[in-house]
Amino acid sequence: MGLEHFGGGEEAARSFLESPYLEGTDDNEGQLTERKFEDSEREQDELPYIFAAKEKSADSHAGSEITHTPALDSLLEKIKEKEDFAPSMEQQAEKIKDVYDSIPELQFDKWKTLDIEKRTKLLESFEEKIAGIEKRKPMPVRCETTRAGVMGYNNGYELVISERLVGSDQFNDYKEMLDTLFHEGRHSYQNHNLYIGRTEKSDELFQSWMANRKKLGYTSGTASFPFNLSESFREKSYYKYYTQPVEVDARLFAETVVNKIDLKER
Amino acid sequence: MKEKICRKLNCSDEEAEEICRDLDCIDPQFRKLLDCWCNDVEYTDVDIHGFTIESLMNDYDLGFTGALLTMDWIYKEPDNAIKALKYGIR
Repeated sequence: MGLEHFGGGEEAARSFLESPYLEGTDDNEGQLTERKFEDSEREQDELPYIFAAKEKSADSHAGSEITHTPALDSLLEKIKEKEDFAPSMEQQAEKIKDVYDSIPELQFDKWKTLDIEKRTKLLESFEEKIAGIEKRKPMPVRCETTRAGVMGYNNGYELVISERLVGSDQFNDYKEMLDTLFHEGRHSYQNHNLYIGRTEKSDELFQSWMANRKKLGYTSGTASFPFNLSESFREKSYYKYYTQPVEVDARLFAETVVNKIDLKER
Repeated sequence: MKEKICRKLNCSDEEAEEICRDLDCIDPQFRKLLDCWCNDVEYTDVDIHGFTIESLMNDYDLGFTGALLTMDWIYKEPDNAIKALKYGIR
């Protein structure tokens, strides 16, 4: 459905822009319907409600004439952006910081008192909130014993983080664990863009991920789990794995979030 | 060499070509290990800044040629390579 359905012009556009369905949070009650979304449903199920909201807005202004003004066009542009794109990397980092700050058990001093099972559940609930911000499906989080050089991986179904990091009481491991959670979540965001639907605004980023998939052997067989050190990389230098566009982006994203959060040992 | 790589790694011509191109540029000290491996002769592992072929294969799930090329990177650009390896696979 296109923006021409905003029959009510500027007022309707402004009202739609303020609707809760366009917020990145996961706890809004619907104003235009009674339905409350579950996180896991948001990604696909939200769209019909957005469309319904638009229809309702259009119906209530049926028959009125559309007058395009610069202000209206600017609002319509903002709506289009909100519909199609996730927040920028910097904005995502800000929102993730807010979520992190709102969960006391995630702070290192409380974190240290939890057993590994509770820590994993907490990470999963954090991941759910991060997924909402990134406009993608949340992933289950699991920890497992990994090789010494493997901090975690994303197999397309779950985010796996090394037990060595999740189970540790050392601050540096805690920091690496959060970095890994953000890093693997970013791979889910990249996957969402590549395989489900584009939500990343930057053409540069999107094209670099696409090139990674198409040109670096991510299109077939053994590389079906692109973000592991798959067969296609085992016999090549670690340099080639490390410098892939998707890896550079995931490291940059995780670093941005960790710096934004400003982790404290006490 | 391409045929040997193809046979040992059971990979496509295209993949073998890429690996051979990279192996052509490795430092001579690693060439000896490659020759041994290609001819199924036991080789003596080397230690560069605390990393060995064996440790790279075990810790990072690399194959022999991947580990050898990574050793070459550690040798030529130790700061960058060690930082990258410490970050780890994630």
